Amino acid sequence: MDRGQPLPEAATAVWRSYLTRGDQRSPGLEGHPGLPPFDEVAGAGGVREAWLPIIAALQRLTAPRLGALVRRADRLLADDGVVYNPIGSADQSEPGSVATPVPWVLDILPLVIGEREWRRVEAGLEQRARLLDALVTDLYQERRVLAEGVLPASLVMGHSGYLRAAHGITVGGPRQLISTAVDLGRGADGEWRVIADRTQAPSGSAFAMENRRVMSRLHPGVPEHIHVERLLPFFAAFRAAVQAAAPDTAVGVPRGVVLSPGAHSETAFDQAYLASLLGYPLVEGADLVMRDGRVWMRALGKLEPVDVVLRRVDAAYADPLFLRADSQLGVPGLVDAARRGTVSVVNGLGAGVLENPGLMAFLPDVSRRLLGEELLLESVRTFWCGDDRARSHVMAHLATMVIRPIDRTRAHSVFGGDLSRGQRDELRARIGAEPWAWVGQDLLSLSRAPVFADTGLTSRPVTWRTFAVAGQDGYTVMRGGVARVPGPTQPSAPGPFLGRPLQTSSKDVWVLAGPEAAAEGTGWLVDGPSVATDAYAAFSPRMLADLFWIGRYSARVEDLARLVLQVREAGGDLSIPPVGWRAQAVAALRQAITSVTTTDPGFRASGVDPRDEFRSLMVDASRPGTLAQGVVALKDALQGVRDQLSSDVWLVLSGVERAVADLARSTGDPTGADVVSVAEQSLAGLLGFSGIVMDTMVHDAGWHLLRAGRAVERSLNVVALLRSTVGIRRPGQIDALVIETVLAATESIITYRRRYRRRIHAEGVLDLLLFGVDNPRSVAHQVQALGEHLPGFATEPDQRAGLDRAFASASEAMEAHDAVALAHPGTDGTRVALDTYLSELDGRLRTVADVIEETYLRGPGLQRPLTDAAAVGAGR
Amino acid sequence: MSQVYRIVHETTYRYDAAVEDSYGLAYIRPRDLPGQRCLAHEFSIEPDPSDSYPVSDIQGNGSVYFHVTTPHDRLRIAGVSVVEVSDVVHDEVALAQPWEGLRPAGATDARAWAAVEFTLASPLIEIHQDVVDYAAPSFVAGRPVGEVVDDLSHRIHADFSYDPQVTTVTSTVPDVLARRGGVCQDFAHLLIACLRSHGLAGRYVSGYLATVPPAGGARLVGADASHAWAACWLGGERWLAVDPTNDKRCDDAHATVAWGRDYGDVPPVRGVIFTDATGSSLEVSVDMRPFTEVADLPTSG
Repeated sequence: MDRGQPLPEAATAVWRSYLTRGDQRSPGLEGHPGLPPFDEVAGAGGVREAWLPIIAALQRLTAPRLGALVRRADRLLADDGVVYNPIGSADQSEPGSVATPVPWVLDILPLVIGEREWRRVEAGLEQRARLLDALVTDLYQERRVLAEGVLPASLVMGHSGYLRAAHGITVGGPRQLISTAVDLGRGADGEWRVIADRTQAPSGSAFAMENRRVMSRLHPGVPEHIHVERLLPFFAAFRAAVQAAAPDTAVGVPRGVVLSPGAHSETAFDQAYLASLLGYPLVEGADLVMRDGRVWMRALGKLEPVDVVLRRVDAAYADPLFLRADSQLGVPGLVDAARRGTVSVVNGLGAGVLENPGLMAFLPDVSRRLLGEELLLESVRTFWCGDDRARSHVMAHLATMVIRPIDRTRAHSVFGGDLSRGQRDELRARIGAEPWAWVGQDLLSLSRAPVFADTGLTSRPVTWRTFAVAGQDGYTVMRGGVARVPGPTQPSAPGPFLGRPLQTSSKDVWVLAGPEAAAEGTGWLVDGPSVATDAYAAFSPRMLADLFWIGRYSARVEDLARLVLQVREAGGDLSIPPVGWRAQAVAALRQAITSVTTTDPGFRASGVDPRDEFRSLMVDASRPGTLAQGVVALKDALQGVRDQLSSDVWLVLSGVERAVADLARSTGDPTGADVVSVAEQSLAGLLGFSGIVMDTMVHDAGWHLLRAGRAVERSLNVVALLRSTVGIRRPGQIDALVIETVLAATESIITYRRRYRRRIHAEGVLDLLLFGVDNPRSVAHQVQALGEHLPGFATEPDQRAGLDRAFASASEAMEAHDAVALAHPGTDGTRVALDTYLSELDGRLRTVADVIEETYLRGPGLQRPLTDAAAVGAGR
Repeated sequence: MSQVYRIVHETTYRYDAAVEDSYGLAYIRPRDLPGQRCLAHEFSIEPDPSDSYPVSDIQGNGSVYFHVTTPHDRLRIAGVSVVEVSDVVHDEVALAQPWEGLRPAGATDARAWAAVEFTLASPLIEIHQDVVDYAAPSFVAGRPVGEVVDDLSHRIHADFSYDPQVTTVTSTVPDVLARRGGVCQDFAHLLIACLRSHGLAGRYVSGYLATVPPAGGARLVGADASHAWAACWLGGERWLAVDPTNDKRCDDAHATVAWGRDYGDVPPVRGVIFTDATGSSLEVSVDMRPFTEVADLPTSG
């Protein structure tokens, strides 16, 4: 235990009570009997040196202030749209099954690592990355470690990460392993040990960056003041590592992509933020294609070459031809392209073999054989059951050991102490049947770190995920990382990280800079991508579809919010039903909402309580056409292209989501004022959103497509509103209120009054909302705008013909129409000519949208495996 | 004795709508091995692929990757090979070893590590207690390995009926055991599972069987399609290949194309297509007969 320093005089009671709490003397666990768990803060008789600066900087922390910081941290993360889609909440093999995102939780106190301690850990992590690189290189090329018996063949070959198809594939540059993550835990003796190696598709480095952004806002000036090491240099090194892995044949700056399993994958946020930190487009399997011997990205109907695929899809799913045939996440032929050396897949497809915990038992020998070095950083003591003596040890100590399958895709890890006698016997039998498939590990009594809970600081076991990327000589280790502690509601069980579903909080890791680094300044730069995004267009059909639908949904939600506000206004307090002619007008208007949103029967249902229906329109995300559903769909589309957009969109959207969620939770205000409030906040949010789109988005093809989506949606909304309101002529006062509300909902009332004074009549409304090119809310204006945006994305002349035809037809419908004739009612009051016209116009506008989708937004056809089901064995 | 054959293997897919993109991988060409030489080979795909590339896998098997981009409703994959196969000369000493000494795990043999691959469960060959129990009577203590393998072959041939209706290409060993029937692939999988259940290395072999056997022997089952059998490790680079479908050790009527852990490693043809088509049909034909006329020789090797 480190010698402690006295706690600063000014430190608050929060810190004092943490240091004097009772659980420091809890009994030790297996491995270090008698020793209490190591405490990250407390040293003998005081505070560990590394923590003094932070305690001094945060010495004024009182319990109420801590509580406020926690709420602010949650808010900042929500504003950035940071979520985690826990595996297990959705069956990933089930198409269409979607994980429910949970908010990413950040504890307000960092884990602090002093400079001297860091240097030791860094050297150990750097060596481990070199070792794993040497091992994976050998396993897929010469296989010396197997032939010489340094590693038992069954340990390697029995692991699902050992990918036979990856044999002989190499990438450019000095290293085969481009990035690694290592989970560390600190034992009771104070030493950090490796709990797990992550090499398949290491996740979390961008979460570390996000945590740092939030921490720097929670504790402004503090990291700078106490010289915390920056994280950005790590991402510069990461990009350099990816570039260095490019094939020799790459021309100019290698073109990279981040291959994601999709917006619903476990770490979608991490993938998207990493893509933007590295400056690479975020793509999914369907965005890429293997053709003519290399990999391309689909972009605006053309193909752009790809040199490096930064793989976040598990290798087995990366190629349905060579690997799992049922995968819809991969690129058929990717393995062949990698083998030919025309594309580099990083980490390599076989890298998952290194995640095998059984290797830990052999790494010291492997290190001597492949590096000629003694292993610097110990792993948790590991016994591989394929070895007879090790197995006897595990079988005899089952109750005090962690039992893990070598392959975590095949079974869960368990702590023997959690099992009944019967369960232990069952486990012994499983181990006996396939001994090579199991390891036993000592249970590390993890060190304790302070966490804020309820009213003060409490201690929680902590693990630390570290990251390293390949460099020219050796590896660059991130000076920080992501620490994890069990969430505030979780019991502090002995083995908190054993694969049981567990809610965790994260912590930022502050590595303190040494005197020299501190002297030159750590330059506390936190925000935004470290490099410019590659100039080549990143517009696959999927991304373009997301952008088009962002345009459509944002306009849909905005228009609906406005309509709801005006219709509620026309009907007044919902607890007082309107009477007389007003009742008829209000009913007509409410039914217009139902028509425009296609939420039948809605307000048309007999005996519907308008309060319930308004509320449902605002909060019911499972009902197509509602505002809540529009917000969910908008967010989904935004997730798919989150690397293309300013992070401010999440700020705006989270405000809308919060308003909707608040209303959903509230018991309800009988007057409907709460519905008004949500509609207003949604409107404000969506106006903010369009401001971001106008002011910050680059005017590239994606922007034009987004704008085209808005124009199409806007025109369709006006057409639908007119059909369901002005389609019938009603007695004077009723029509006056209906038309006035329509004008207000389309923001055209001021223009109307200027043009027509106070006289409300259908001809004027039609003229203004359909044909008034000067009125920005008119269909004519939107169609004109659509025409201006089409050339922005429809750039290939040979694909233009269909779109041009469809647009010409919609545009033609706007010309030479007589509003007076359209407004002429039949004997029963219905305006037949108008209805026919609007129906035709609606069809033509939809045709334009359909042609855009068909021509620019459609991915490859349905992917199906081809078997030779009849090929083997006669006459099958 | 050696025998020269001409092997024609054709696979045709037909779809009810156009396929725009078709990726495939074909294990069609017989390997060059001690006792087997591929004298000539011609591989063709219709429509013409826009890209194709030879692939050599971790076991040294050759296959061809191809990509067809011409829209088509019919895809034909054809291989014509001329192969010289020698009759197998068995190493009686190797066959006489007690089976217990041939478990690669812990064996002193320098090549044992590579055979470990074939002792482990694989995607289509899971080792359940049923398999252990079924295999047990053949594994009498101290019994020569050759006898163990022959006995497994006899028993599988006797206990299981040849019936293409009861299994599919994705059937697993428990399915075969439960249904008491299957085709060559299933019998090979079962025999391999029996070997692995007792720690021996068994591999899956994909190949062809002479349609008309040499020297007027009886016509064998499985000759009009791709055939499959099993092989057991005998130490070093020696393997004993046995055909449980016909209950005989493999001889000069068997031409080897490729081997792997199970069918999934070396299917004759697999692929991925992009299409709106929902229906497809498949036709496979194999003809392997003694090569007689020079005119039969394909143009390229």
